[in-house]
Amino acid sequence: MTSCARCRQLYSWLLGPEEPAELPNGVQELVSRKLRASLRPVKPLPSTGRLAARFVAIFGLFAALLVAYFGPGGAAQMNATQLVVVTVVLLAAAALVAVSLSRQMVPGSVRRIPLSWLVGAFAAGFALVVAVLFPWERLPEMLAGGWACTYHGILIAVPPGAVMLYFAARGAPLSYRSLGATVGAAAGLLSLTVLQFSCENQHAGHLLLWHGGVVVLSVAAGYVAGWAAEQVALRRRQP
Amino acid sequence: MVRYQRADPEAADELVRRLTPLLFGFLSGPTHSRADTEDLVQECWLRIHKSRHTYRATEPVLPWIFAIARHTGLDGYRRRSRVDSREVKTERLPERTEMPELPGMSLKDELGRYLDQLPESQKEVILMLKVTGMSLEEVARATSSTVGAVKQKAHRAYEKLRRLLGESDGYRRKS
Repeated sequence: MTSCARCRQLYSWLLGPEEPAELPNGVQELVSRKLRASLRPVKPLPSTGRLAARFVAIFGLFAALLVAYFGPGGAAQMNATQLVVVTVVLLAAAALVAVSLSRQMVPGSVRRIPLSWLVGAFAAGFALVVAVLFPWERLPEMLAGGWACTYHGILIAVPPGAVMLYFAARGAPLSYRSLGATVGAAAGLLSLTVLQFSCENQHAGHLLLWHGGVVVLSVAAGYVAGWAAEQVALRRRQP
Repeated sequence: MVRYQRADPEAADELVRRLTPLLFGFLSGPTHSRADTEDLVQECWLRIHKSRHTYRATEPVLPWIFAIARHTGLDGYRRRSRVDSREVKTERLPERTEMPELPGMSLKDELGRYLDQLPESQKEVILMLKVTGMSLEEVARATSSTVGAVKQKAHRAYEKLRRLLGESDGYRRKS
């Protein structure tokens, strides 16, 4: 910059007083007319905290109903430490996903930590807790009979996922893929919670592979559904 | 913005008058015709209108507006890519040449050409920071990223701009 006069000139233009932009008058008038034609009072969305509390309430309600329906067989198998630590980890993850969902409803929301880091931190935290606190079984036992848990887990995830999507769509989510993945994560997490407290097989391998697999599949399904919705929306807007 | 949410038509007109030039500048690009940009601006306003209930009076307005504008631009790009991939070209277009120096080119045009050479993610950060005058925090909100990521993109953009300007200056001296 010190040795280049042209650079200094361009830089000063960049920081200098704003030149009046070339105004697209026709566009402005057209836009004003369209907005005026459909101008109705709207009620602003509640704060992020209240929206997140709503998602946590949906999570808690579905989890309580489903655990009551399937029976708390898994909770009975866990000791006090396992029960407390697992509950804290799952609740913390549910709160984080709820905050992420409520922020995605509002464009331009603050994001201090990327969503991928949160997902990674939860996955690592859950894996560590399970690996340390729960007993390991042998490989054939781990692989046997686990598919039923994953299958039921996916079925369990569908209704709460639909309810959360309905509430999230009341905002203005900008990225369908991101919203789909987050709703998938919330629904998968709920399913994981229900399986954790209902399934009587509390071995580490089973929990990580077959219960954790539900979250992975739910996130993937949500992402693909979001991508498909995006393609449909693009096709509709095509001239 | 709050008056616009309460359906005040004058507030809507005022917003359109003040923000359309900014949106026009942000959504224009080297591969867009003026008509394409005008379409994008109109689409962006319709999205803003549909999403107006999500604006909160306690939050800054520019990140909210530019987050919507950014996604309108991204969707426009995806749509154009989809059309381009299906169209059969009847004529061969001339390849883009590397930044010819045109005599009498205005400073603004020249800067625009330099900015067009940046990756889209870096260009949008520079436009928001330097042309629109948003803060790092506001740009982070508008681009759904963190302040650290915005700083990194801006730093890379400055480095590339510095290199381009250096090359251009060297060329001028030689000629």
